[in-house]
Amino acid sequence: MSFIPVLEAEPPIGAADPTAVPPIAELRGVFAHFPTGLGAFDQMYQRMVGKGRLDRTLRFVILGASARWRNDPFIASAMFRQAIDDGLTAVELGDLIGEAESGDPIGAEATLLGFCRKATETAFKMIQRDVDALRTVGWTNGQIVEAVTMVSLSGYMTVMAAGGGLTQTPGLEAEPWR
Amino acid sequence: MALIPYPEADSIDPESQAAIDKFANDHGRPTLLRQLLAWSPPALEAMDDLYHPVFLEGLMTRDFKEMLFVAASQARERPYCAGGHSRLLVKEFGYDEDDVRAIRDGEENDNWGAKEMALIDYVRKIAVDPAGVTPEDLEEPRRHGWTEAELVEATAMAAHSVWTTSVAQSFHLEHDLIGPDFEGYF
Repeated sequence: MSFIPVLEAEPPIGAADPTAVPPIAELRGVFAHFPTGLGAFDQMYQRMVGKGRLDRTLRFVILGASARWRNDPFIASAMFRQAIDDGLTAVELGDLIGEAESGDPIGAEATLLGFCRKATETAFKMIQRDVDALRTVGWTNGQIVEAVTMVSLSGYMTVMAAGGGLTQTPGLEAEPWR
Repeated sequence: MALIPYPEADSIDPESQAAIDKFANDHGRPTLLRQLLAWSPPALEAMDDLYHPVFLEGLMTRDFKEMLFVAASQARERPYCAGGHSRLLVKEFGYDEDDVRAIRDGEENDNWGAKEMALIDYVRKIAVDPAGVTPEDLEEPRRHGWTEAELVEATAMAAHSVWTTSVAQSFHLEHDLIGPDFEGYF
């Protein structure tokens, strides 16, 4: 059920990396009511997903997990699917999310995900110790900032999806590890 | 201080530094958000690529979109973004400070009528609780005459607010809003 009619959107143009094209046709179809905005969104997605300091699969995991913590199964399922297409197994993904949500992550990636969860849900509670914990397990300032920008991009997509009513699409596979 | 130091000037790539300098020249104030994002040049480029088309083009005026952004950021209780763009509305668009406060808080004011307030209410809600948005939340602004395209533009302002406020709040950029460089934030 969409709240705003989904239009037929032209494919993104000028993508240097075809694998960085937004995989979410319905979201682009909502955005197509504002063609300039859709073009800007496509470009943002391509830039942020196409290159960076973090492993690309981890970027997809953060995008999906942040959507999950915003109760958005639409973006969560799309981004988790991208992570799996990149080579992560559903079991590995589930283990990573589970460790991050345990409240006591140990591995570097799960620790970063735990930080991203706090950035998603209660950013105002972030303290220096949270950042220091990431540095202890090896993350650099550039990687930490980039991880939070993935939370930002995920939130951007969630708001657009929610406005279009896409987050209430039935049958979404938001937990592919189950 | 912000939770992560801003990159040293000599470590910032020329394109990122140019973006930081351009903002300062255009708006007469530094940009902590862009300085921090210099750690991630793709994100800095993406934000600047997004801002100008989305705010300058479309069916709504720039200042109206800025107001929607400010309302969304205020609803999310993010003083860095709400304060910076409130300053912009006063200094660059001539709005009265008290009017900006009222509009961003979703309060009745002399400048806007029921039509504008219906859209503000929607933007404030979706910025804070996107999962809680229902078809009825869109029906009220539609009833006041807003089109599908305008609703999408307004939603994009809330989305933009979530983008910028997530970074600003996670690293507490608001802690660095002191001194004469930030005069006019409120």
